[in-house]
Amino acid sequence: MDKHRHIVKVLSAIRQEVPTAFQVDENALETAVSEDRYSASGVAVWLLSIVGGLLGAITFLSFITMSGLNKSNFGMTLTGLLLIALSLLIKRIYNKPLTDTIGITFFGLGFILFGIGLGRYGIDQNLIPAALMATGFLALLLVQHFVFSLVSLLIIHVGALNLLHSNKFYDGMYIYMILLALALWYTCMAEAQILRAWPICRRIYLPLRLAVLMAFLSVLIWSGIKDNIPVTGSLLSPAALFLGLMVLMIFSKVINVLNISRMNVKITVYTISLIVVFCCFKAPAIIGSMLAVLLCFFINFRSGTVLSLISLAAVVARYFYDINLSLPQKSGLLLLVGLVFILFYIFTNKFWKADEKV
Amino acid sequence: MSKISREDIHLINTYSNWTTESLSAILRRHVYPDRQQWKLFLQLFIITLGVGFTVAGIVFFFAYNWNGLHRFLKLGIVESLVVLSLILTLISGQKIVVRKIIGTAAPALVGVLLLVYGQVYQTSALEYEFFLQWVLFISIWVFVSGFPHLWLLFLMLVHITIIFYMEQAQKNSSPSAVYALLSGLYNAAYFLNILLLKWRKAKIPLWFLQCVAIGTAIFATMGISNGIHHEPDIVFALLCIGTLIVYAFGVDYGLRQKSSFLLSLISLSVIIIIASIMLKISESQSMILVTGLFIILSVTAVIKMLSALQNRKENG
Repeated sequence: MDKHRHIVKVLSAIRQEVPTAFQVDENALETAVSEDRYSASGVAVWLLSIVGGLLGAITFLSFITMSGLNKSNFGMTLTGLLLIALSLLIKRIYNKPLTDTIGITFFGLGFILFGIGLGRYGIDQNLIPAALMATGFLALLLVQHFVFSLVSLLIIHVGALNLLHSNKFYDGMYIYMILLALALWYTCMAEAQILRAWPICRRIYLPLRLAVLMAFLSVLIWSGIKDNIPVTGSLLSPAALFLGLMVLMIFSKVINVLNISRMNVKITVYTISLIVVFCCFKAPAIIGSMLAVLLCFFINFRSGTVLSLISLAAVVARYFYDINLSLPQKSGLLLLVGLVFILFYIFTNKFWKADEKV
Repeated sequence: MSKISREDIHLINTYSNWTTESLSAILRRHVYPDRQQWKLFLQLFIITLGVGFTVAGIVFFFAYNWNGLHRFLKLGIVESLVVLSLILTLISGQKIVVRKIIGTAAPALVGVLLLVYGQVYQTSALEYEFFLQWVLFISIWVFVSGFPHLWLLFLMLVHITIIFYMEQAQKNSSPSAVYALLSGLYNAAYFLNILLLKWRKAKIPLWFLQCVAIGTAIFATMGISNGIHHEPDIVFALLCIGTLIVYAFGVDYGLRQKSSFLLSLISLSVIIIIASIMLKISESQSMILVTGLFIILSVTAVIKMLSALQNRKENG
């Protein structure tokens, strides 16, 4: 169907559902629909731009290395900053799909050169990630484009990880994990509030949601590998219990959606959830991935749900690989967990069948 | 009524005076999953975890060499489990998708059965022989299952078999051979699915077709980009000709279906192959610079073409 006709139909359907005070600037909307060709081209074009941009950046980096331009620290740093500025300028002046590949190439290459250039000055190790984070934050404020915002946010995340790791602030990793979990909760649960806040929030909502999820999952997967975070005393179990609490909170919301009112069923669901959460109190990576799956599905964030499921499979596999048990013990534990889930399935199935009859 | 998507809501929100409460209510009603979708998701999530953990537990159980267990008992337990999962798949009164998930356990358990068989009789089989047997024994189930997740698992098993076969049985073969075989595997899978779609009107999810198409493009690109750095041989020639035919078909099919995904994938693959050829001709600084410019300009041209195609699609 023509996009214009589709929007007109959607608008009339929405008008029937919302209060009469609802008003739309239809001319501006019409113009936006006419110009909104890029989003209509789909994910394939986004990916093409990103992969093309990255390949271009790698090729130009090879050129810079071969031509000896990388010998000057000042030259590298300045070229990096200039390329970042140029890419932002291109997107601000001409924000069309045609400038995406060149913009992404310059943006990516700029950050690489800027980072390498700073690294060679031998300055304080904390200053390099801090400078990259500040540049990423500035880029986020100046240009709100899906790929640019996503890259800027991920640079900020990598900078934060680097700061925590280089300062050996390992408990900080769990605090950061909890902060990311709260940020993911807010971006998922307060979609309407964010969309109605400042215009910049509305423009970066989609890359922000994806970046927060990717950052959260990366911290979970990284912390899920044995000995990556040395045990210091530590915030591991409190972090797991905090994430578990969030899982229980999301369950309470799911119970509302499922319209479960019988108290005995509620108690059973909470008890089983509590058992699952309690079993994972030494594995925040597992409980965090479960939280991500539930949050993403709650708002129909499909790619996020798939990423979270992959993360869940990875951290569970890693947990059982690392756990200090013999093969028969691991086997027994896996079978026990499997049987608990099968019993849970039988219970929920029976409940829903009975519920449908009612 | 037109389905209201998140994209529509975000766009209209930009130019409206929507209140937070009303926007939130619209999102809940039209975008977020309802009761039925939650029920299905939770059922699938729980049963997948149940079956997954149980099968993993069985694999770990038999990975330990139980010397005290008689071989009849070992093989008997696994065979019984295979039969049990098949019976549950065929007779349980569950939703079809739940039955298929339970049914996925049976092909996985066949692998365990072969593992136990190898343990008991000390067959000393090579890895590729083990995977080849596994592939052969489950192929009929896979074809009749009509379950894309199982097809993907099957493709992965064939993929692993090919890699082990080339490593262990064809050590002196052409460097392009493994890529040619893998590319051929995904090509065959793609064509088979297209045929099923056209003639049997089978329901094949888009994600599965896209995964297979990505496999085809990756191994054709890797094979040709790698092959140009070696002495050309008959396998490399076959890979090039095969890729040319498949891509010609893919472009034609993509244009007819107006599939941005297929056209983007083929374009990207061709751009990478041409860039590799350029770097094979010369690795000088100027050629690297030209290659970088070529990548950016060609990707931009493809995006322009896809945008034009999208415009035509929207305007009928």
